[in-house]
Amino acid sequence: MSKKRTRIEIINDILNVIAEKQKIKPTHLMYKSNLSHTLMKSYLEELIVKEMVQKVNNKEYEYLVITEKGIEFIGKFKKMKEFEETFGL
Amino acid sequence: MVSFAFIPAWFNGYSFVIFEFISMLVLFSIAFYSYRLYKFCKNKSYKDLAIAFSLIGIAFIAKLSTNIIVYYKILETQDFGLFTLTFQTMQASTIFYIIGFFFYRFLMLLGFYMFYLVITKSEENTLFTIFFIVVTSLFSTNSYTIFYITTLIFTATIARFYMKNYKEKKVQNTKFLAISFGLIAFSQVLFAISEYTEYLYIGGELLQLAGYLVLLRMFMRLIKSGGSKNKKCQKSEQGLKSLTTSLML
Repeated sequence: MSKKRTRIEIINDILNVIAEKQKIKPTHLMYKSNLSHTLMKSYLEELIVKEMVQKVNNKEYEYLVITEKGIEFIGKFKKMKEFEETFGL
Repeated sequence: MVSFAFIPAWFNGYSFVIFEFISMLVLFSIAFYSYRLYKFCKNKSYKDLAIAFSLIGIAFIAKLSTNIIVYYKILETQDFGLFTLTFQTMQASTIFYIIGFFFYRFLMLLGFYMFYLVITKSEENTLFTIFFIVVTSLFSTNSYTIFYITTLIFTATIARFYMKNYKEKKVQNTKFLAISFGLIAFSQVLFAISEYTEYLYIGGELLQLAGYLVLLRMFMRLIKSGGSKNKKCQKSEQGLKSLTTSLML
């Protein structure tokens, strides 16, 4: 059985999905990051407030894009994971 | 005369300061980095690791300052050439030496023990071990061997843990950690038997420095590899740039 994801891991997963797709619809993001609608909404609100994700309105749809802060977060998370793996934390 | 833990007089100058300073720098750099990661993810293990490295770093400060102050104080009194003055300063130096080196031993053992607890995620009776560390630090004033053997047990256990970890996961940086702590552990063996010849003490210092340099090498690798952006990030950075341009237009 897979381990329950921590808050920071969920944020990293969300940001990675957006980074991979470059721009994504919120519903697609919800499926891709394996989250319920309520959880997804609360995480997205937080990421938008923290300026890691930006909402872009097209003529028909609303897209989500990652900001430089979001990219920075992914980098930091990667560093953290490598440190954790090295030291066996 | 006060004994400097079998350190030859010719070594107790710049070379000694440089050796200890490098080790200190490595320890504080890793502590600072670990604390920054704690601020980022709020995982207690990172904070504990930062504290463990800081304790070992502070132990080196205690050793360095005690050696420098006692060493120069004695030289000063030798210049006076007066028996009474020399005797009084010696007394003060001896007290300073005992207190300074107690803190060095205590903080060093506590730091390694905390490190061991963090990596093994052990929940043993810490109070009992801390009591054991205090007793070892107190009673090893006249017998360095006890202190060095205790440090050897901690460092060898850490080295063994990382070697086992490396065999399982094959993470290159973990191999560096195992080598680093292996060298530090071996240096403790040389320190423990250094009362036979001062050259063993120098050998110990050299090995210990090599251990901390390997730790520095691992740390540099960790920073460099973690800093490189993965493909996803590069792709989305390009996407972000094109999006900003289109929004501006």
